[in-house]
This record gives sequence, structure tokens and C-alpha cells, in this order.
Amino acid sequence: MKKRYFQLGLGILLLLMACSSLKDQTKNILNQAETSDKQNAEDLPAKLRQEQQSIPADSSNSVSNNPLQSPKTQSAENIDTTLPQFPKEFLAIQDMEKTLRDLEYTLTDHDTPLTKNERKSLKQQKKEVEKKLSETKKAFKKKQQDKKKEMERRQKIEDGDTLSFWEKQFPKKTDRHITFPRIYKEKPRSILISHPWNRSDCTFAEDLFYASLQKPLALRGYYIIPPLLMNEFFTDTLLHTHHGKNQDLKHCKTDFGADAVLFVTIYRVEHEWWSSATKMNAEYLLRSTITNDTLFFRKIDYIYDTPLPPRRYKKDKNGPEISEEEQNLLNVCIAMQTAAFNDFPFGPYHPKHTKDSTSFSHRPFMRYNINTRPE
Amino acid sequence: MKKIPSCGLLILLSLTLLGCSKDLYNYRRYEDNMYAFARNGQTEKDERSLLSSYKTLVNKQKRGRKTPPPGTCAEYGKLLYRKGNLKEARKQFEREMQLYPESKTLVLKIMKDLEP
Repeated sequence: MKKRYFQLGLGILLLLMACSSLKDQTKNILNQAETSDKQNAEDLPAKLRQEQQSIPADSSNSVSNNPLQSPKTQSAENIDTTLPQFPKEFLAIQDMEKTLRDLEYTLTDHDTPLTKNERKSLKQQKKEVEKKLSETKKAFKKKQQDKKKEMERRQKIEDGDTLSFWEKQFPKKTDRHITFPRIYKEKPRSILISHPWNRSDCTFAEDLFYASLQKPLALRGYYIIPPLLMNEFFTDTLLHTHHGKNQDLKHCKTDFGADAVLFVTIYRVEHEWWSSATKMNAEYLLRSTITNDTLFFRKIDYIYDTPLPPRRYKKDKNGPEISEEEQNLLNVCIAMQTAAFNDFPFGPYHPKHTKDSTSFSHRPFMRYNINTRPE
Repeated sequence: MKKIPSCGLLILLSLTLLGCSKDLYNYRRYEDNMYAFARNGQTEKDERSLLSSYKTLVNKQKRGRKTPPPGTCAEYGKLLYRKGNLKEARKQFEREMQLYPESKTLVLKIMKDLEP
């Protein structure tokens, strides 16, 4: 037994020895590489060195001519080039670095000997410049970071995701006149609902939306251009969301008397057979026909998952013929429209018209989930 | 025993809240009729049920503003015109213009097209 333990110990020792020798070898290789670099640098002829020293002066001139030149070639040390650049500050840093280099050169230059006092004053000067440089670099970095944050925030707004996690969980109260200032300024009276753009897999989604969009807006006190009358004009493709979304809308004012046009893009309408949830996703965009400005924007992700029916009504024998599946989808669609416009400013036919400017509203550019799944 | 009056109060409160519903118009099953009409290719049965729903919408409004919802008179007028009831259709169009002056441009345009 003792012999075996001895053999095992020996084996482990040998292994450790081999590992340590490998480490040493790699270290040696790295050191050799470093020393060769240094030697190369030292071997440079005096002429070349002079050229190198004359480069900063030239480069600074070139920078002053072209301040937006790529910072990698001008390179001040430790500056992240992926961040936004400020040419003025960058040039100041470069000037300081240049003076530092000059000072260092004069201090180390053995061809022109310096007196003790001169050396002392130069060293003091160098220290001051170094201090100033570190301060300006810090300020520059901070400015860059702030600018980057601002840019990210703007990008978020453009993407439609403005709220942080905390704000999403506990939304702040935002007044309607702040979120929809253009509606309060323009005060549209009539709204035309354009033909929805169906980008979902559901083939009849546009009919669902078109039939259910009139009511929530009319109940908010607006005049809605009658959809049944508009049916014949839908041969004009500019009245379809797909084509007319970004076009000039002044013809809608002259032809139909609409003050604003509502564009609807449907992204998802589905109810899988294995799930009890109905999922819908759509985007609403209301644009003025007078100024072509966006008055209202909302992207809504609606999930209806509850045993309670979304809508109650009396069943009628002489009523319309709709299959059960379509009826369920229509009911959820109606619930979704009321949710989407529940903070829409009241129109001229509502007694609260212009009196609701300080009422609660969701933010104009936001995505929110309404999940009615019971806990 | 104390539960009975509190329950009564609750019922009373809910009833008053129900009575004070602030909707401007009563749309009944307008969306269903509209959807069926659009989906089923405007069949006669759907047209009939849509006509009857418009009739109630236009004539029996007891909620909020006590006037027909925007656009219903004009839509009813158009359906009546389809059925050949020209006189009633014109009446409905004029009513729409009277109730909602915003509809003037479109309704006048449609009336112009409908005239023989």
C-alpha cells in the first residue's frame, strides 16, 4: 500500500514540475518579444526620431484644418472613439498632449544641456499641464457619456419604448394636454377611418377592425365619417393605410370634410385552439388633414385571457349571422378599441370637451400590455 | 342582521351607478351588424338586419345626447336608397346634415351622385 501512495505522490510532483516549466517557457517568450521591440525602437536612426518628433506639430495643424477627422489617427490616449466626439474639446486635449510631449523632449534631450533652474521650472510646468490634461479628459469623458445617454434616450423615444421598468409598473400621471398637445391646439371635429392595413395571418382582421373602430371614437364625441358611405371611395388607394400613411392628406379635407385621418395597421389577431388567450396587436396613427402632423399615436399589444366574456348583449334570432369564432374575436376587438382610446381627448359633441386637459393619459409613444388573465 | 342594510346600500349604489352611465349614444349591436354586412358580401339577410338596427338607432335614442349617433342617419339613408325608398333616404341625409354639419361635404357629394 505504502508503495502505491509513494508512486501517486511522485506522479503528482512530476505533473506540477511540468506545468511550472511550461509557464516559465511562455514567460520567457513574452519577455523576449518585449525586449526585441524595445531594441528596435532604440535602433531607430536619429533622423527618423527627429521626423517622429516633428510629426505632432504637423498633425496638430492638420487637425485644426479638419476637426472632424477620424479620432483614431489623431488619437488622444484613453478616449473611446465609439462615443460621440466634440471637436473643440478634442483639439484642446490634443494641444495639451503636444505641449506635454514637447516638454518631455526638451527635458530628455541631451544635445541641449539645461540649467538646474530651467529643469525645475520645466518639470513644474509639466506637472501643471498633466494635471490640467487629466481634468479636461475627465470633463470630456463625462460630456461624452451624457451625450451618449441623451442619444440612447432619443433612440428609445423613436422606437416607442419610453418607459423604464419602474415607470411601467407604477405609471406616473400625465396630463392629456401634455401628451396630445396638437389635438387640443387643432381641435379636430371629424375623423375619417382609413381602410386598415392587415399584416396579420387572420384574413378577416380588417373587417373586424373596420366594424369596431367607429363606436369608441364616436363615444368620445367626434363625428366619424360613415364607414358604409366610404366603402365606394376605397377604390382610391390613398385611403388605404398601406399607401396613404405617409402621404399628403389635404385632399381628405376638401373631398370628405375630415379634419383628421386615422390609420390602423394590424399586426396580430390570433386565437390558438390549444390556448384560452386571444392576442391582438395593432398600431393607431391619427394625422391632421390641415397640417399633416401626427395628433395621436398608439401601439397596443392586447391579450385577453379570462373566462369572463368581453362583452354582454342579448342574442337575437333575427340578428346577424356570425360564426362563434368570429364573434369571439369581434368581441375582443371591440374591448381592445375601447382600451386603446380610453384616454383620447373628448371631442366637440362631448360635454367634457376641452375640460379634460388635466385628466390622466398614457404616454403618446408607448407599448403596453393589457393582460386580463386572472391571477 | 347588520349585513342586510349594508347589502341594500350596495345594491342601491350599484343601481344608481348603472343608471348614470355616461355614454353619449346607445349603439346596441351595431358592430355585429356592420361586420356581418361587410364579411358576408352584403347579403339580403344581413342588409335586412342592418336596416332594422339602423331604424332603432335612428329613432330610439334615450341615452346621453338623445340624438342618433354620428353617421347613422346617412348610412340608413343610403340603405333606404338601395331599397328604392328615395323620399325617406333624402330625409335621412338632410337630418344627418342638420345634426352634424361636418357631414355636409360628403353627404352633398353622395346626394349629387344618387340623383337621377
